[in-house]
Amino acid sequence: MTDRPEPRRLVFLTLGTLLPALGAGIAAGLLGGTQTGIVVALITSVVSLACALATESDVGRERRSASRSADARARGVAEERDEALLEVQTLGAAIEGMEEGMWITDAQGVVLRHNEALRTILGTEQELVGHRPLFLVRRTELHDAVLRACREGVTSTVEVSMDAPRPKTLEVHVVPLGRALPGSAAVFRDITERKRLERVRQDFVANVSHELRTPITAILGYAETLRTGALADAKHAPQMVEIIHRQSERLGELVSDLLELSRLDAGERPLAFGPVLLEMVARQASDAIEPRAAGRQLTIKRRIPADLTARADPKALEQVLLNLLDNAIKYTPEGGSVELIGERVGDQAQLSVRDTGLGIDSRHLPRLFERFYRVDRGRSREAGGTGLGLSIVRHLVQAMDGDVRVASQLGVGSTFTVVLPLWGASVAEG
Amino acid sequence: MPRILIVEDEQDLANLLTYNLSAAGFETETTHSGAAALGRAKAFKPDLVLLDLMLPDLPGSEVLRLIKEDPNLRRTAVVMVTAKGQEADRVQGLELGADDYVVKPFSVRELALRVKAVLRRMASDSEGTGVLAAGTIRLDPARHEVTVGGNEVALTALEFRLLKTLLERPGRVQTREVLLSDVWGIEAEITTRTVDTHIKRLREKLGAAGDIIETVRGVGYKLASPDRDA
Repeated sequence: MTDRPEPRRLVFLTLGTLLPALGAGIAAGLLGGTQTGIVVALITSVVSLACALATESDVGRERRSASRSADARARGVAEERDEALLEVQTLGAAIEGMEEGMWITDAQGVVLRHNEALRTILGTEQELVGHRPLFLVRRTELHDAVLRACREGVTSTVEVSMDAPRPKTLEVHVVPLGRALPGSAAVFRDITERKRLERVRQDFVANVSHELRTPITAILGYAETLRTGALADAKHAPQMVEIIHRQSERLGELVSDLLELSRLDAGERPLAFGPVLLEMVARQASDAIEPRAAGRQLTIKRRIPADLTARADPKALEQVLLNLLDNAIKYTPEGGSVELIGERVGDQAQLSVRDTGLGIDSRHLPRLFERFYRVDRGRSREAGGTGLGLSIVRHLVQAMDGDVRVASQLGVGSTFTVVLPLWGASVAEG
Repeated sequence: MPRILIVEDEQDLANLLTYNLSAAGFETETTHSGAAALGRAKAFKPDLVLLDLMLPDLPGSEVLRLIKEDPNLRRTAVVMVTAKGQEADRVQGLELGADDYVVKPFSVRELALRVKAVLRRMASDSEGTGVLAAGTIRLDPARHEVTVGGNEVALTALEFRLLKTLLERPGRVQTREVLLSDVWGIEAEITTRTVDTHIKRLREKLGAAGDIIETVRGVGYKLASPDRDA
């Protein structure tokens, strides 16, 4: 670096004295929704204003020495300078207060200044000033983008993946400062969470697509087969119609479960909390499912204290129990039993659905409540499962400030336990 | 009667395929898991395997790899059936040596036509004027045999067809699109890397003699003309 007081050096000198002194509070109000565009505009404004301020200052000095009769004009200039200073302070505070990281480089791409957020985003304590991008973030794409901005005036956005110990994905918007101001500015945004959600969404869409295509293929395939001649096949045609009917039902169930989940996700299912007698809800659910259980020679027993009262939405809780009972019946061999057990534990009410079914291997338990996770895909489909039931259960229970747990042993059975706040306890808290 | 092994975990879909392929004149067998597929294939000796890519136990791509690595099965044609319309799965399948693919939901009539087309292409492999040769490579369509310097080289059906196509057109550049169309019988909408992957594998199997297959940068491949070779 030379000692010559270039305009750019003046700018950073000014910013350097300003930035640390500025409060972050103003920034939040000014930025509201922080968009890269706004941030870039801010950077450019700050830099230009600081330049203007420096220039105005010099000009003012010359004028004062040249003519005392121009006092009035000089006062005007001083006012303008104060306004410009205030604006630099405000914009500086905005940059210092923003969530995004930011650096400004010289024409060679060497970092001259940065805000505090950048350290957090890069997860480093090291000195950033005086280094080139490649030294600070070992990714050539970012380095190249900065050099392109400095040398060719090219604006670009690059995605940078950071390695362990804390893997992150950053989106970096790199802009040239402009012809009068050699160098570049870059705004860093941590998009790790956004990327993770994108992946979850993609997996979900792929799963939905798979789950929908299977019944559709069966329906289309059998309809096509019937239409092109099998209708006259007296032996097989009725079976094909039966399959079309069954697969249509499965498609219908899948669509309703998907809609239910989507309503829950969007918070479009309002819950009405109140005192709920667990024995009553359990009786309603078991009565509703009794015919199916009887068809499989299964008995449903209840052991719930008559006065056990939880704070819950009765309809949502009934749906939870129906889903759990439905599963218990699907996976319990004929002649087995399903039991509904209620008990008070501290200030919580617990309601368990215990079956003498096949049981679940412990390796599946952590993922059991995930959407479309199936322990045995073949058996689940045979039993008519959509792969979404337990996910809906968890959603509903959590929406009621509760939790759902599972314990299981292969060949012995499974117990799903819904934990809800006791009505009395929740009233006391409220 | 050509034999088809159906690997599909959905009972309704397996029955659908069985009914339609039997009606089209094929002898079929069904298996519901990937683990059982290889054993069934060895016992049943099918001409073609209709393979669902989403199986409950093993990924279909793994079953495909096992089939293509097995000396007794590697010439069996494989048509992938997948509910995933995503290109990545199809590309992976084709690179592993699948002959064609069908995406769910499919038309059963179209599926039957595709199966027939694949079997026809396989049959045409053994047709031809006689033994084809270039350098130390000899390809005998009738015996379905390839030798390099007298030693037999084990090729999959696709690799065999790829080599035969190149041997039939010495000195002429074959674009990737042409090879995809003539060897795989599919439109070139998918990818052209599939061709590159198979050429690479073919060259590896042919050893030094594989250098006869030249890359024409940015265009495709050609078999070096005999005069240049000499």
